[in-house]
Amino acid sequence: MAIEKNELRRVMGHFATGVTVITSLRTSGELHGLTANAFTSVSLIPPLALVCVDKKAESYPCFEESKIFTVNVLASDQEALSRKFAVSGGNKFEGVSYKIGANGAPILDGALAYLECKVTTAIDGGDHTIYLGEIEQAETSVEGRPLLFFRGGYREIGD
Amino acid sequence: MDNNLGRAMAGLTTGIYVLTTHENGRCHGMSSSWVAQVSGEPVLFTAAVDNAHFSNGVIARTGVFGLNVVGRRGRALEDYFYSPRARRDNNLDTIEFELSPTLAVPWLKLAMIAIEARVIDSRVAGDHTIFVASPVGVRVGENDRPLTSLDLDYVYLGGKEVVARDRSGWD
Repeated sequence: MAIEKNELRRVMGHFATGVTVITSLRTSGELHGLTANAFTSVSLIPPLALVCVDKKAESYPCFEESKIFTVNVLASDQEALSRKFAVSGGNKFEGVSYKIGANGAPILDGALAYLECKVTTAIDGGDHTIYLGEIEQAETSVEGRPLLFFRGGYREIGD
Repeated sequence: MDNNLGRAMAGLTTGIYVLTTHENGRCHGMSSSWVAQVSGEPVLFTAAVDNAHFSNGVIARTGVFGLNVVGRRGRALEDYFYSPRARRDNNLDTIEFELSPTLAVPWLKLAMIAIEARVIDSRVAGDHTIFVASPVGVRVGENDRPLTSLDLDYVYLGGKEVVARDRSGWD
């Protein structure tokens, strides 16, 4: 029995997630970032995480070129930042406060935590590529509640 | 685990799931939170399963598993599968479930959504294996708010490392 495509999309929307902005850079030094909720821990020893990146995303070449990325875990007051990095085109970093991390990718101010990763493996996954990254550095930046996403909308704890 | 890394990993929000397997008439469920959607066309998702866990070998052998999305009203599922009572083979004997129509993996009655999925790729990644899976059937139950890792008083960091949830700064 094949599942109806729209029904399947609706079902997958029930995966409740946090919201992250994945930052990286091209070999030219150009900074990139994209909003992602397809992100999860993978291993404790060694510490590994994965992120799934749309093959059509403007930032997609970064992962092949620099082989690094930084996961910025967004706080509940950073919905606007999530929306900004969710669209294509333009300079997404304009008006955004950040610092450059040890791996060269931006760390966004106000993010709850960040994880600097080095790509170890790329796995084809349909219209996305699964990038496995070894976590080289991680820190919690500020205290607060995380931004959540499920059923196609932003949520906060308790919604 | 490094303290900073532990705190950062604890800051990641995940859904709460029960990953189920069935082999030779023996049914098993495990609490799972390291799950993510991978692709929209075709729809694919991943689940990371501890290499030392019983379920890992079953999934590798059978190539299929069930993913049960736990909602607030199904909280008892997480309480059970997190408890020592569930740390045994054939641990669905006290849980209401049915076998899914196509792949015969357990769908739990209390789950708000249940998915039967076929593994299309897998990679060993550190102490876990990533199973990339294609859903072949779903059961949508009564609507509910998905339970998330933030609802729990503990955070699973992998292996035997579980830390208490730090809710400071949430006011």
